[in-house]
Amino acid sequence: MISAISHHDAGNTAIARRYMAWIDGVGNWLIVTSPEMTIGRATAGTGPLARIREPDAADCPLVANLSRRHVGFQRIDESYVLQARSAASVNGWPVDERIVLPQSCSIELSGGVQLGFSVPNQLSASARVTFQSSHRPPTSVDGVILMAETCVLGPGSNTHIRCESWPDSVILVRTADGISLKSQLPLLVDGRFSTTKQTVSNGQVVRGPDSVQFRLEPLEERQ
Amino acid sequence: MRFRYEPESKPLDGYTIKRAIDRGGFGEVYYALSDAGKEVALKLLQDNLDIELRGIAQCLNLKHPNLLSIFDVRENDAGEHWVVMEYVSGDTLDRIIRDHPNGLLPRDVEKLLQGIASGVAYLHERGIVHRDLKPANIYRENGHVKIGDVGLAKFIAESQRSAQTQSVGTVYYMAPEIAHGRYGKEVDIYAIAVMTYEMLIGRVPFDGESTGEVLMKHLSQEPDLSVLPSKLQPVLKRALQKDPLQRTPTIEQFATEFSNALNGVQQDWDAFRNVGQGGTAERQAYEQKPRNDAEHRYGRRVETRHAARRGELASAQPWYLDQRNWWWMALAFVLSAVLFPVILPLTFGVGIALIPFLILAGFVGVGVVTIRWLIRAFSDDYGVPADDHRAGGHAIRLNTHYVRYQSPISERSLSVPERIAEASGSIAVAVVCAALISLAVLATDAVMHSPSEAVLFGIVTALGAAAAILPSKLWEGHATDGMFRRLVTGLCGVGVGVAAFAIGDSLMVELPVRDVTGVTEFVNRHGHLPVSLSTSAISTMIGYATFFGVLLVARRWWYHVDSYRPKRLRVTSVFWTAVVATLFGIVVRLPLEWAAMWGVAISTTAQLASVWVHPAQRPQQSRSDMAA
Repeated sequence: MISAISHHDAGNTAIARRYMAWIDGVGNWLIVTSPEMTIGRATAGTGPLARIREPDAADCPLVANLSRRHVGFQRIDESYVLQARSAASVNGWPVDERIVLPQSCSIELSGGVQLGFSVPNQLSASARVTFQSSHRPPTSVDGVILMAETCVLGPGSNTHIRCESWPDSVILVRTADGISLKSQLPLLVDGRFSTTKQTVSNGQVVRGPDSVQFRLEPLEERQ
Repeated sequence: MRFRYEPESKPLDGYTIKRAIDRGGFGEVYYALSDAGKEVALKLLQDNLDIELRGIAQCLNLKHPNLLSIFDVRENDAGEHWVVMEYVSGDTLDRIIRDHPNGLLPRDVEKLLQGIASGVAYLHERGIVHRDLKPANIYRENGHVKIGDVGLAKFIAESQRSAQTQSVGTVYYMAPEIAHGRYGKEVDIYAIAVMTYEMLIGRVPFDGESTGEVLMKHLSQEPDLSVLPSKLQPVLKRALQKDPLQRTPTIEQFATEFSNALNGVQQDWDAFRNVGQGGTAERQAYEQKPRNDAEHRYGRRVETRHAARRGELASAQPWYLDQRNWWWMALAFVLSAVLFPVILPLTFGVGIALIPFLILAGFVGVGVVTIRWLIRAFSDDYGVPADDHRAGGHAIRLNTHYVRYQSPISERSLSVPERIAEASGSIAVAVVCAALISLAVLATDAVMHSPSEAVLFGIVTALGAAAAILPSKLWEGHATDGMFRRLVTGLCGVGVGVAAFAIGDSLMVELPVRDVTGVTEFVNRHGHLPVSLSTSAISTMIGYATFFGVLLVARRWWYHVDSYRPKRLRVTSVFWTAVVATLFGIVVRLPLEWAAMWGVAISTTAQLASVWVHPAQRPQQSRSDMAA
């Protein structure tokens, strides 16, 4: 059965657990809004865009020789804890169950899977996970954002998703009604000028000057 | 950059567009998913209505790990032609080179070259020439090289593509014989050699301000190989030969030679030369090789372009770099050296002070050019040691106007807060710069001899720099008329002159400025004023106002302080500003040492204080910029 969008965070029922950000000229980024995110082996029907999602499937499944839920990332306040359910190491040091991650580090899982972890913006608790080895999810994803309250897209080096050709940054902000936008740029949401209250978490197309165009697609999951 | 299709649209049955990837020379490229979830790149062919689909058929079923696969070519209900291609998620070589502005490590270049050579060799073995090899068409996914647009270049050239110069990026990799409509596999070897050169040092061997200039350099100028590691120079020299018969004969051989040179394996260059030169019969066969109509048309078109641009192309190579001109340069240098001391006292004696200083400027200019020529000639003979090639390349690169990135004439948007922030920050730095320069000048005790003179000099220098920076920041990124800009900066300069007079008056610093315009005398005679104006005071003010007004009119200050100017500090700009200041100092009879130093100080301060973005960090030029 294909369910409606699954929800997390008690009290915030408008935000999906995961989004795929399709960004013109930049790439495909998986945005996880839950404070917990798991990485594991991709099995049948576990791709990010899979219509039917198995209950124990990882949030970010990789086509790799991993356990189904190999490691988990957990955000506690502004820190991140890596929970290793199978073999993993951080900056070359083996992880014994749990470890608090530094601001920037390299994570190695079994099967040669290498991930990069960083908190690129000191003003935001959101983190970025990138793929340093050739292992990827079944559908191409350039990286994963563990979104806290905000996610910055823009040309600068301290952005979560770097969009080099954009004239200015766009900030995705978690609100009670969903994910809304903040930017100095004039933005159109589904062809209409955006307001600070307008949400973009239901697949609306956001368009700005120059090459700015993206869409957040909520990923449907079985409850 | 707007794309025709929005996310989630289905212009082609069975595929859903998720996002746009890029807009290439052939049309728009989208990332799409098939109904089964297969990732593909959909290329919408545009501007080529007269497409013969059979032209691409020979490339449809090519299979090689280093070639990007074409799955299908389809036409939708709207009559649009789509190429369904393999999607590659990695970076293009263009992006990799941009991320390494000083060049990649030779070992990394070797790895990339092996992948490129393997894919291109596969094409050449099947009689297919790519024709449009360039970094934007080379992808690296998980360390694996993929070559894109296979078959499309020929496909397009045989239809309506005009002279393959839709993107100026392409001409950087264009072999000289393309001007004659010849498209052997040698054009691919040349293009790969250009890319190898670019990968090694971060810039192409031939660049310029226009398409024509780049093409002309491909045809006539030798590449500067001295910036490469010495062991790689003979490899690149052979692969970049103008004559295709002198060029490295196969792409595998080029890759082998590159690896051998890198690994220190001895190579028999004489044997290679014999292979590469080709006999008379081979040359005749090459010359008489039939060209198809499309190639012939294409060749003629390029030649016509050359003829049309000949006037522009004649100046493509600076005259002082042409070694045939060095006798004239030497003669001019000697004449200038002899004439200057002879003419100087004579002309001063009859009051024509301008002439000796023009000769002085010429003398210095010819001297500088001669020294540059000698250094270049010396470098060509001896090259740069292998270990120093990065430093050498960097030095050369700084002197290169890299036209692929935006310049002061590129239109761009800057918000008002950004303009205010940049202008105020630059002026703050200008004050510090001006203070340091005036202190340095005071310390020499050559131009000024008291602290109050140094204060006058420093404040006026800062004001002059601010007069250049402030209005220029208002126009940055806009296409404003040049004369209007000069007029506004000139008016600001008049204001600086009046302020200079007031400051000098309050500090009791009196420079012997005279009013050669006769305005004071005119006002005293015809103004019917109750009290006669002080001749010296009014004259000084008018002198100052004229001097700074003209100084701010005569130079393109908005170009010198633009954040996208070629270099942070251009010594030639400082030199010519000093020349202009000296000349107009003579006209208003300002002490020459003050006039020259003000020119030097204002130009230096304005440039150093203004925001400067390194060319590699600027956005690439849009096509409209290039067309402009």
